[in-house]
Amino acid sequence: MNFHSFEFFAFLLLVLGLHHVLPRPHRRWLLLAASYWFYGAWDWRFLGLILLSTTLDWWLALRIEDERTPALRRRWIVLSVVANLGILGVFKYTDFFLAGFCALTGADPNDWLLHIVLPPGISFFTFQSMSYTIDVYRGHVLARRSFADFALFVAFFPQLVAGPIVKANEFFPGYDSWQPPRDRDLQRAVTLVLVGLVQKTVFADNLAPIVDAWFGTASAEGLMHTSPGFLPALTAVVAFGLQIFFDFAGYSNLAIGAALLFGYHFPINFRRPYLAANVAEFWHRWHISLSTWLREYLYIPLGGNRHGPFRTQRNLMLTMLLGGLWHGASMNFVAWGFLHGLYLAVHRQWRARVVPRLGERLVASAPYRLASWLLTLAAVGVAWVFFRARSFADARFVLGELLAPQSLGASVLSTAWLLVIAGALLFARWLDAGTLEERFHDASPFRRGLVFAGLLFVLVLFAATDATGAFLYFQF
Amino acid sequence: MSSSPPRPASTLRALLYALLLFVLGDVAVFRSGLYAWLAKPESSGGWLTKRTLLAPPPIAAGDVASVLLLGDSRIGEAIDEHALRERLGAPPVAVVQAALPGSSPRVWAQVFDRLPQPPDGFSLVVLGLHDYDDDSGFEDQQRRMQDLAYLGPGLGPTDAFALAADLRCDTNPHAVRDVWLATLLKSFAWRRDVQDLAADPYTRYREVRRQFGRLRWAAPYPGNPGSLAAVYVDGEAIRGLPANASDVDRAVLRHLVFHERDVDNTAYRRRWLGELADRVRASGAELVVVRLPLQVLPRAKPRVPSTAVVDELAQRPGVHVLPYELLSPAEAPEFFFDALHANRDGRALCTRLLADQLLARFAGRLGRPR
Repeated sequence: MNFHSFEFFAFLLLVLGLHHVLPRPHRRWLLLAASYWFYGAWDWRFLGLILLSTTLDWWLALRIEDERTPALRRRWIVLSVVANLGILGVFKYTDFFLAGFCALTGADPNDWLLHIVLPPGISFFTFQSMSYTIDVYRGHVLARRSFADFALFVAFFPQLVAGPIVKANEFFPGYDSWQPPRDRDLQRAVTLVLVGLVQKTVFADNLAPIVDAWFGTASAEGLMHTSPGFLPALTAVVAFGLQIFFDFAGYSNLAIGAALLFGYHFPINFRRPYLAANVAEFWHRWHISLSTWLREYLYIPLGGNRHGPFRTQRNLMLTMLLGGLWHGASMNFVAWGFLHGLYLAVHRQWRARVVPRLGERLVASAPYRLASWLLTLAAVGVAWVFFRARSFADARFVLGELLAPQSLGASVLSTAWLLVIAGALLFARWLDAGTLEERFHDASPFRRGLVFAGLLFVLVLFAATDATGAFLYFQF
Repeated sequence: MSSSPPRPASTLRALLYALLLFVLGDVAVFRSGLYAWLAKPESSGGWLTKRTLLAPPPIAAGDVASVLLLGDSRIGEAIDEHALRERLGAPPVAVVQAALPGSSPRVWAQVFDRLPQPPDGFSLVVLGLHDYDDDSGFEDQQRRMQDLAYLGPGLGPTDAFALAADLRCDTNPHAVRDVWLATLLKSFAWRRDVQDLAADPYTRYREVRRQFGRLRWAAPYPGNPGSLAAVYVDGEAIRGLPANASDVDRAVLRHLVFHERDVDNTAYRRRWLGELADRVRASGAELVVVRLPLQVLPRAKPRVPSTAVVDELAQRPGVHVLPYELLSPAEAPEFFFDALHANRDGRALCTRLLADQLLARFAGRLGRPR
């Protein structure tokens, strides 16, 4: 049940209606039942898995909290981390490591690979659930005595399948002091949902054919022998950069908006990332819930920047490598993470060693900021090649066309207009749901109705006509 | 910026306004026919809507009778409306060419009511079928989502139930939803056209400007001089195709010659041809069914056609099924310019054969002495 489907909106309205009429004590049971039904609609076989993961972390968190001996508390948290990573490893990485083993030993992959089906949203709910036990261990949150409370935290359907990854101290305060959504919340929710739908169905889905036509056919056996040229390769990379942003930001806005309709406030997940002037800033704007998770539960525990430059660079690299691997069991994702780790390390060195010598005036000047922004876009774009390409050979080929092109390539005018429009809107403040909501929050209902009607028209008229694609991040 | 909170429930009011404005915009721009002026002239929806809304009535003063030619592009290529009018002789008979390229019986039945009718209705409606065989065809016609391109802009809410129930489509799980949206929201029905307009507004402007003042009912079928005269069957292969023949031509020819059984469209044809017959009958016209030239080359293994639906139609009052072999003389490679359509010579031949048949069988309806 995709978020941008009629089925989902029928489901959402039904659950909202029931949530509105049910007495307060029964509402959590309704949301829990709806969440499990939603998850089961993807694949009912994995309901057992999410229940197992939930039960385990709920019980372990209680043990951690009840245990007074630090060594035993540590034992329970280690068990939780191992169990969560174990579940993730079995379902997501078994074949990846078996394939590596086969490549090293020459064993026949047909004899070894298990072809395990990836449960939807496993990377998200595992990280969310694991962060809870870690927070209980650190004393940042109290363990929930009620299993239903914790189960709802893990499985709440708006953010179950593809985030945002919500931490316990972001979820439970609002849950415990739940208030019906105020008018302001409803307005923000409607804006987020409409903008999210436009981002997904109008932009991401219309960009998808351009990306698929190029990346889908680029392969070592195919386009390696032809030379499509610089412009088509650039078009494809730019299109993918925009597609994945609109796809995931659209999903996140839908998820946050849907949760807000029930009165639950989730943190924003994207803040105009392509306006970042360096890669560190990019990661403060892109998939914020994941980057926050990685910082708090991986980078800082590894030592963060507290043990000198070498350890800091190592920690950055490790964090980004694992962040890449989190996206999928493929060396392409590892390479993507490696590149971002490298960018962050270089940026840190630049900031520490070069920037002080350049002087504040130069660093604050418009040409410097423009150059920084363009360099950041280029670096992020190069990394996207690895993220999207089907293999290293494909990625090498695309990068070859970009960095050492044989020709300029055929005209891309037919698709350029779409990219121009998408890009312009991307950078325009209007497309940002938060800005849109801010601009109109105190406007008259009629003016706000005018904006909503405009978004509806854009949706109906310009949504991709033949798209059936799920959200890209559902595969992670 | 003021930080005063909005009034209670103002979001619900804003949503109501949004819905109201959206519906008003939809009605004002799309349902009113305003957008039809901008629609792509030769697109499915544009072609039909422009003619039903904007084209002058196709009947001249002094015409004693009128013949409507209905079907897909094959009747458009096979029958020349001007030549037919000439061949029918005096007193003049209006001939209206309503060939809808890529259309199907479902479209014809739905569209018939919306065609501009003469004051007394059409005298004859000539329906061109590509075959009388219910098993002949290349697809399951029930699943044709393309039909929505024709029907969407003109459908009303009352059509939605019947069409949504009928149009099931394995390849598009949203077929029923799309039917409902297209019937209720004309902006949805026109969305492909709007996207095409947005993609290249200047080309659209030139296309639309070119057609001002020249919009007429006839589809632009001038007759094609191409020929498949050199095509022949060599064992399991078809040879002699022109260099510019498309892959579709090759596939269709192979299908026509070697394929033994096609998709069974009996139920679908019974439903929609029956519906068309009812509507034609209700309009006071008589329905004349003619089999268009189909076999560019003879089948490798001849088969007995399954003609159940046409046989049933023939039993109905006001329906006349012309002989199966009437246009068979045009079933030879030299009368086709591609695998499906008659060329200029085939067109002349078919038009003559049809005119003679109409004169022989329907003189009274055409205002001639019996």
